[in-house]
Amino acid sequence: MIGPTSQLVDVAFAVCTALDSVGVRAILVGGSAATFYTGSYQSHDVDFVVSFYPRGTDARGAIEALGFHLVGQHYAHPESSYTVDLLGGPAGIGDDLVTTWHTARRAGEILHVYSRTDCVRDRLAAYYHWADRSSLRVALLVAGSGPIDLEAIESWSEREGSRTKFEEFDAALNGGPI
Amino acid sequence: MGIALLEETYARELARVLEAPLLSVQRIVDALDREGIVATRLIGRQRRVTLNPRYFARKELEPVLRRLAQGDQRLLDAVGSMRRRPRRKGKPL
Repeated sequence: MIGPTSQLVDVAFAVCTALDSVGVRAILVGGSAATFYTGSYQSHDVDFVVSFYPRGTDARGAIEALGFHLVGQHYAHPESSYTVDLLGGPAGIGDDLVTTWHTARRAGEILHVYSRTDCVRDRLAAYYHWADRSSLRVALLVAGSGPIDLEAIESWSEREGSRTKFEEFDAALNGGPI
Repeated sequence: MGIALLEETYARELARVLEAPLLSVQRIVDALDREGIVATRLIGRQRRVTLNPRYFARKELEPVLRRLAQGDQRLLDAVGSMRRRPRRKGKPL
């Protein structure tokens, strides 16, 4: 039940579970994935990438059954400030396709979400390609919330041609200014 | 330093980040443009400013500016709180 006190993660679990029940696999990405890992960074968009969508599936009906309604290209709820967006797949970060993710479960609900490492890469991609330093700060928050594969992030950064910016991220992880 | 951190910017954005009067920023950008240190190009009605990729010391200058910026926490905070990544049309702010 989504209401005024529902947090972003509650909305994400409810929507992902509703979609899963009709056969649609949706992965939480972007700033909302960062909120899942940190709790401190607050996004107001619940963005999913749909990685599997069987023909004839009523994803819209599943989301509307939760009380959301379509406004333009996103879903809004009369009792929640969080909006839900379903983005077309495949999930990708820079030139890399995302083929594995973390699946969280709680009390009969399910949530597919970028792994912590991919969540860091996703935020760093915004910094690398748009010079968005607020995303760099979020990447650092996510990196500080638990274990990440720093080597994988470093080699991906090399492939993205962003060695210098990765070094800035790495230095900040070790206490450098940001 | 602001231009190095933002990579591509415009006078009004720089003025906001630096908390400096727009006219002063425009004058400084003009002076740097004359010296060839920054390059500007008009997109619509907005003059976009970058470090000049053809400036002879560009390769050395950018890391120095980025390093200097690390000592200016107020500037880092101002730039770090700006959203520059795209947002799909129609999404609520």
